[in-house]
Amino acid sequence: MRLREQCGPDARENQKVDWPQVQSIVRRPYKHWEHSAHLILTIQDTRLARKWLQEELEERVRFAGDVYTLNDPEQKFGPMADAPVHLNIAFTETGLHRLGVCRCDLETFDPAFVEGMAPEPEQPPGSNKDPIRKRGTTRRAGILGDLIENHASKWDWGGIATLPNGDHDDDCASRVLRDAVDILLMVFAKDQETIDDYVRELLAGGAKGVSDPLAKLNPEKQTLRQTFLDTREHFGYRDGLSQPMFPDSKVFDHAPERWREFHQVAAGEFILGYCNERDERPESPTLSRASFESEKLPVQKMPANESLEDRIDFGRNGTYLVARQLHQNVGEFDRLVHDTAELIQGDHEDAPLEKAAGLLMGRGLNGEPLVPDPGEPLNLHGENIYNAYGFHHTDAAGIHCPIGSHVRRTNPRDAVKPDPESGLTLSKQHRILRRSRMYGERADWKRFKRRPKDDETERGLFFICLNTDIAGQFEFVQDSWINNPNFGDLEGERDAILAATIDTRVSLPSTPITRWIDRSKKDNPDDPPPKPKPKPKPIVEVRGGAYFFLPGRAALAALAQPKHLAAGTMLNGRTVAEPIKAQELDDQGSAA
Amino acid sequence: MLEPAILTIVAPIRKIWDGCTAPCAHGDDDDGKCDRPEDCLARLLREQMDLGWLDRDSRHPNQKETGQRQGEFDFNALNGLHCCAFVIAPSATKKGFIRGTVELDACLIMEATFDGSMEDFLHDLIDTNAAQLHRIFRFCEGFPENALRHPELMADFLRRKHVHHNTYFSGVPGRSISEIKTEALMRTRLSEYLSKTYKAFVNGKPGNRPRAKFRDLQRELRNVVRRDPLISMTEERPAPPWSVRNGSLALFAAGAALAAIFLTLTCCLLWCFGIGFDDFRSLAEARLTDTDASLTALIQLILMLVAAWCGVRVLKYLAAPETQRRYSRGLYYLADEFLNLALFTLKVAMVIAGTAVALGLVVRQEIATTGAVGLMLLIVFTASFAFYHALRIRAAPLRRIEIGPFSSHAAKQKREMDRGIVDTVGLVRRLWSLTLFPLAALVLDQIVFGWWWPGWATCLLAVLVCVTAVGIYLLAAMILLLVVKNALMAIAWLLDAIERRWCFAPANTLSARASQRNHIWAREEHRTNLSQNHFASQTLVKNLPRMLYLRITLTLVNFLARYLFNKGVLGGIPTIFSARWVLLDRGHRLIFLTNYVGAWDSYLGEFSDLNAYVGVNAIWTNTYVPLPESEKQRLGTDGRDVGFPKSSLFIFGGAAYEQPFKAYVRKSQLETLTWYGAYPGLSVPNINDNSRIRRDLFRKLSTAELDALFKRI
Repeated sequence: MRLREQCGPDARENQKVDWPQVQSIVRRPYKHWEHSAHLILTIQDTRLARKWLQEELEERVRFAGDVYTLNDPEQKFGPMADAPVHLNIAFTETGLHRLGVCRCDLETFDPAFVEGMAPEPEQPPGSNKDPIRKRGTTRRAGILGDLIENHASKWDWGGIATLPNGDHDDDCASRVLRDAVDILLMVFAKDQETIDDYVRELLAGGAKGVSDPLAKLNPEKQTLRQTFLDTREHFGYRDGLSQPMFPDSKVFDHAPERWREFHQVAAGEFILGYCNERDERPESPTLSRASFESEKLPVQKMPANESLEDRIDFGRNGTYLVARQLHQNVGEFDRLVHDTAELIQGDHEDAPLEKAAGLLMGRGLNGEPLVPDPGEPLNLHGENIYNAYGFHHTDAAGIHCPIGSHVRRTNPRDAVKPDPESGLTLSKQHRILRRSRMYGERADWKRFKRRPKDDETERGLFFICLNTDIAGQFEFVQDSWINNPNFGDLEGERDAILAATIDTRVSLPSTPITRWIDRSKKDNPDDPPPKPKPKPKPIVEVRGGAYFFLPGRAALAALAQPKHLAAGTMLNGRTVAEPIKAQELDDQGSAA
Repeated sequence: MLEPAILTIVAPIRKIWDGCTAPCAHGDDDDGKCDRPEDCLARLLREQMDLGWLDRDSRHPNQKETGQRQGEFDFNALNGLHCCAFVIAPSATKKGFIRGTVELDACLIMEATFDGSMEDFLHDLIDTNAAQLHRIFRFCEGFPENALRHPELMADFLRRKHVHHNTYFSGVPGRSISEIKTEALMRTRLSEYLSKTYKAFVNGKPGNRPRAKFRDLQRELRNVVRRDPLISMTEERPAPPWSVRNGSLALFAAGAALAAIFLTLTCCLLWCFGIGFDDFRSLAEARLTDTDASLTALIQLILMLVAAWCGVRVLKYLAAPETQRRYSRGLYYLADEFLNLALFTLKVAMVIAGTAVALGLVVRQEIATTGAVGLMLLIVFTASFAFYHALRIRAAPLRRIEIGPFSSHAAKQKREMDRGIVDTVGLVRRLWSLTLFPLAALVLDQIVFGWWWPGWATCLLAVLVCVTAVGIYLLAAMILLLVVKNALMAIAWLLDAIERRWCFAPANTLSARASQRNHIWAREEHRTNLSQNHFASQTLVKNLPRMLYLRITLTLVNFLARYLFNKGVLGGIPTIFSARWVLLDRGHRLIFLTNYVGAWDSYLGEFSDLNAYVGVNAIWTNTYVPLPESEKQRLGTDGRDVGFPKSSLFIFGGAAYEQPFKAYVRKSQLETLTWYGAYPGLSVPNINDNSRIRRDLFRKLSTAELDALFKRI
């Protein structure tokens, strides 16, 4: 059930994305509007929610085509620029189900999306005494590294009620479980007041058919309602420097050729319905024509069997969106930086703290690459950014930029085996488009000079990335690169910044020998035993997360359009067990 | 040298099993009805698989063993065991045009890789785990009832059920388990030591040089290894197994055998057209008059050539990297290139001269058709030798110049230009080698012997005859090849078309998605994201021609895996620990069992992104996955089973289509019920790296090599 026609390299280079159909966040990170809110919504009433969707589709949901048509530097957002609030909407599997997509149709979506970021541990048929399953972890948790401190039973939202030891958590009423996460609403505006006003109006009285479960459970922890973009993230690094480029974007036209070589990625890696780096069209979800009809959505024939009814291509111009709320323990991070600086002292007399922070990340605090020959810069917004560099020719052994450093793990560029050319091709098949925002109180970037101290402030990164194949892109990066202890022929190491467990180590090779940063152990056993310290926490903790589907314009319209209620949809906060026809609903409405 | 042995036990499961209720009642569940013996056994095996060994080995080294659970398989008691897995291959019905409907029974499959002989292993296994084996294997047909009291009966049963693998690949060939573990420990110790003494090395004592010398460091590390009783055995490493040492020899022998077979076929073909060796002979005979003189001269020529060859070898030795610092860099490259050419020329000339001598001998002694085959063999060897050298572009000297960063577009252009030069050099060499046969003889003739040797024309003539013969044979061989290739293509195309229309729908992602199959792969990754995973799959073989082809392919892959891919990489994939293919039931079904490193997705992705897809296609394109009727309806396959993604000519396409390929593999996957690996935290490159470190540590190395060694640690 997929568009099987293959596309040649020419088709990949020359394909034109139908931008007016694609939600704007795919194309722009909204750099000009630094304020935003990310709302996790539950659908209470499908009819009202559909009506709300329809309204927003006409008024506020923004598409990339609008952005592109206008080059006016003042009004960056096109003909509808006077609209004060811009929305982008994505749905989870439960959200789509509650909007009327039947289970049979959901099977055509990406399996990872259907299963969700934190699936409940499953029982194999005929056994509930399974020793692994008793532990309450799943395959996906292993892939994403959501273990121990980051286990899904501890998440604020999107998690599960099964504890790591396999028991059921009766106290889970204080958390928003994955079933309650239906919609991710991304709200962008020029100032925070506009956003607050919009959110207040949206949630007032449940008239829109949606509710914010996080607000109900935890009124004082409303951090996701104030997300923002800044020049640096909480730890102090420049963020979002290296993004893949589409061939028909404006940055692409300005970029030097070597930039294109490293960062030009086919649109099919990020938008469904186009050719990807493998010269295939990634699989696009389809819906049966009975339930959703939209003139804009093309009908495709099933390749496997002509006798089945035609189906509509629901995924076209949409994509999958991965959202994770990552809490940043700034105090722990500072401690790690100080430890590292102590370790490398003597090597780098000048500013060892900054140097240490750079080694851990794989890029300096200002975003400067660590490899000796970082290629040509690109001048963006009056600033030179270096990104056209690989690792293989300049730093294969990781002397300058450690192999285990965060940035090198998340995008190893041409250092993927077997050789630089095919390595670059391979690593491009796993690129993701990042659209992260920060939340919480901003941390002081100059704090490195001081001694590290514990910092419990709630702050972090609302990580968002876009890809068309969750298992092949986001999960691949998480599993085969970030969490892989054997990444790049290392042995038993993890990502210094994202490691879920604390007893991991990172090596910093240099000439002639390598040193290890080991957070759990003291380096020299001959030293006097250190004072008992509090058990170190992970530097980055997962607070919640889910997989979403970010539909295109036509698919969004199709979702909002049906009048009847299928089984599984919501009516007045209750699940509809038997399908209700549109007429019956009207009768009920008039009777009421 | 121990080469790990492998055991694959395949035992059909009983159709009816009275005791089935017993283990079912064991658990406290009611919903799981154990109606079939294999379900029952699967439950039992699932419970066997406690991941305690994973925890203990990799994450909590200090934690003591929590105690064996009752009735659990004790893998740790088996000292030489590398890995072991239990899988149940479900029963299946195969409908075939030619051989009718075949019922395939459900089988219990146990795979094990271990050090030592099979007898010893079986002995150990029964010694330590008799009760557990009894609990598991009593589900199988023919298992002796009184096996617990008579272990030799059990051993006999297991021995009888052992099936020889069709193809086996090991990523870490020739290493015993103690070797792997000790080397890993050595690496850890060394890195700990380096970490500890880092400050001392960097700062040094006051007045000393700031950095220690590489060689001092090596000496110190050697001492670390020698002092530690646990790892001191690593100093001498046993020689690798025969297949690794002599892989190229075996490959060459196989190539020669193939060439001989092909040559004989060509001979037959030519003979059919009435062209025999006598034609060449008479051609030469007519012209050659003074054979004795020319023979003597040719033997002299060969002696001269041998002397020249020795001289060039000496020159090459002088120009080798160890001695290169005597010359300037550019001179070295020039000399190297020139000497390579000279050496090659000489080799070819020697072969030609040798051929001519043989030809002359044949002519003189009037050995007719009896000697013809031998001579033709010689000719083909000559030709293949020349071609081998012609096709192998020795571009190393030029490539060596361009190592280093390339910073800008201009640099990249330059790099490409360099590559262009290399290609041109290669091309020229290829062309040149083709004209070499007559040319080399002529030139050598004229320069060396022209003024005193009267028989140069004779020699030239002999060479020309030789060239004609080679040319005619090559032409015939090409025609034969074309015929064979087109016949194969036609068969493949016909088979493909028929199968696609009537039998097998290409896999699509939906077919892999039935949520009730999730438990099959739920065990991957476990929970700590360790290196190793296990994968098992069962597919049915399509039809008789496919089966024949599959057998040939499996044998070929087995040969290549043993002799060519024996450095830890199979077809470009560095993450396979072991892979085995077993054909069961007289070739009706194919079982694939593998231990690999990393995630399933990246493992399968490597198959489709790297060149290995050729091999995967050659094997799996002959197979399909049967679908129950209900699922055929749901997936809308028109009553067809799931076939491998569309491939052409057995080797192209197919697995290169990533998502359908993954869907097919998921569809064919079997649940790994019990699995044990002795070193779950190590990857294939780790193990091979550790061995290299150990080897290098005790060798004399240049500074650059030492630097590379320390970088690896």
